Amino acid sequence: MPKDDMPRVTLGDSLRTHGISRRSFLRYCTMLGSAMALPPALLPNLARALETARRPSIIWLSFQECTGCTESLTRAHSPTLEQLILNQISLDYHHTLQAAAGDAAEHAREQAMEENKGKYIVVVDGSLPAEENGFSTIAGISNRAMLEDTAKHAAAIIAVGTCAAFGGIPAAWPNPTGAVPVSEIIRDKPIINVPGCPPIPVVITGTIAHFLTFGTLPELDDKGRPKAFFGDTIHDRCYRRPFYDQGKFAHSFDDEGARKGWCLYEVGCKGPTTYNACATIKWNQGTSFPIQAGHPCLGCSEPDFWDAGSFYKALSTPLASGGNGVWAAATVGVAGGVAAGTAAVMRRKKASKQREETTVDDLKEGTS
Amino acid sequence: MPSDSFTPRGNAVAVLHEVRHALERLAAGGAPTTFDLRALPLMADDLATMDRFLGIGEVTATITAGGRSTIRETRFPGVWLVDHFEGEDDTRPAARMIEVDFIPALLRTPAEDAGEAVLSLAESLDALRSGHRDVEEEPRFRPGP
Repeated sequence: MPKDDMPRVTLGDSLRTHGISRRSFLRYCTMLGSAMALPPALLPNLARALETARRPSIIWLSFQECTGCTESLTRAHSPTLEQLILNQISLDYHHTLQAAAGDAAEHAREQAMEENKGKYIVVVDGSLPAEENGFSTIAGISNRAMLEDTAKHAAAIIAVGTCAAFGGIPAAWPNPTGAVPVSEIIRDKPIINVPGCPPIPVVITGTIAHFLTFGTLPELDDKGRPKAFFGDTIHDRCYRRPFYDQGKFAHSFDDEGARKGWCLYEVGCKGPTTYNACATIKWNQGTSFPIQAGHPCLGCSEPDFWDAGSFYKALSTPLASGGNGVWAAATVGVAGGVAAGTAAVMRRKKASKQREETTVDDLKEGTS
Repeated sequence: MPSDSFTPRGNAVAVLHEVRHALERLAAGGAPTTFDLRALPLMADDLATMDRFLGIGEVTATITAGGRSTIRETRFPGVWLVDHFEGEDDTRPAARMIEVDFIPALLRTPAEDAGEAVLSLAESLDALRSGHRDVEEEPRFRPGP
């Protein structure tokens, strides 16, 4: 049985040790709560709860990913709420950030699991390849076996980034590794999807803070995303929306409309179908986001965004006929009346089946 | 017209009426209220005109604690405008609140800090007595980023 008092150190103790005053923590919590769209009356509760929360043990697993999600979190402007929370949580295992390697690293994971049984949070970035294909192993352990083993006694799983949440780029056609998201492997644990390529840092920490504060999952949408951040489309909150309503569009990247900052719908903006907080929280200390920089939204926090037609064709443009099988795979899961577990197995098989061998010659052809 | 920039319009008017009700509650029973302006459907112009309408009162303060926050009592005592900035040099606040209170929570010294200060002040005075004059110059916390 896990020890009830593990881990003993509170977040407040840890902050004090690192020279963070109570006033500065209250300030951070106010900003975090505002970003999390919490009612202002709850902000003192957020600070109090986080202050006394025990430092959670986090096991961070990176599978088929590019490390962009970790970069998003750790390269945020210093010092930020993101770093504050990340530095103060007990990050017991993270391939990229930990100093240990080899057996020592794996031992750290096993030890964290044993000491915090039932209480630790697993953060996953990256998708999982089909088991039988032999892709992507860590210390000789397949990604799937490591996830299943680590998730067994987890309190919750946070799937960070579009790859972990929906398969992402590794699952894009021709899906060479038969990649699937976390939710296709783990069915008996609460999973919070925090998609984005990469996700906004405060969305990651806000989700962890919510779990620490209230001990529950935040309210999720039908794709498992926290509604506080994914409740509105980019289009709903876009500062260029009035131009859409007035029918003023950029038709190319160098026409009058583009220069005047009109709506980018006709040059392929996926804002109307993309749920994310980029238009409100923005990036780089709230400086800007793609649309503000003159580029259409790619829709990176939505499933199959890589295969959703051209990034530069308007949403109303029909997709090319013939397809690539991804759409068929996507519809398998929503077929009415099919039990979720069965559907997951079918999706995994389908992902495996649609996988196509890619040779060096194919890659050369693609670049020529 | 110049006076236009001081005339709140749209949702700013509705928010200011809410602030008025909150101020009534504070005056009558001491109940504080906080408004998160980022969570309200206000346009940049609404915020600017509201800012000018509320004006500048007797107190302004800057807090440097893991970043910068500015606090300003408006020309209506009990109504405070609180801006939180992520970076030291940021000009655009990451969060903006209206606090209706006798004193904003962030300005008050946390009780635990006061308790700890009793010890640290005593230690500093002891050090002073024994000739270590530089001890009291050590900052207790990092002043900012």
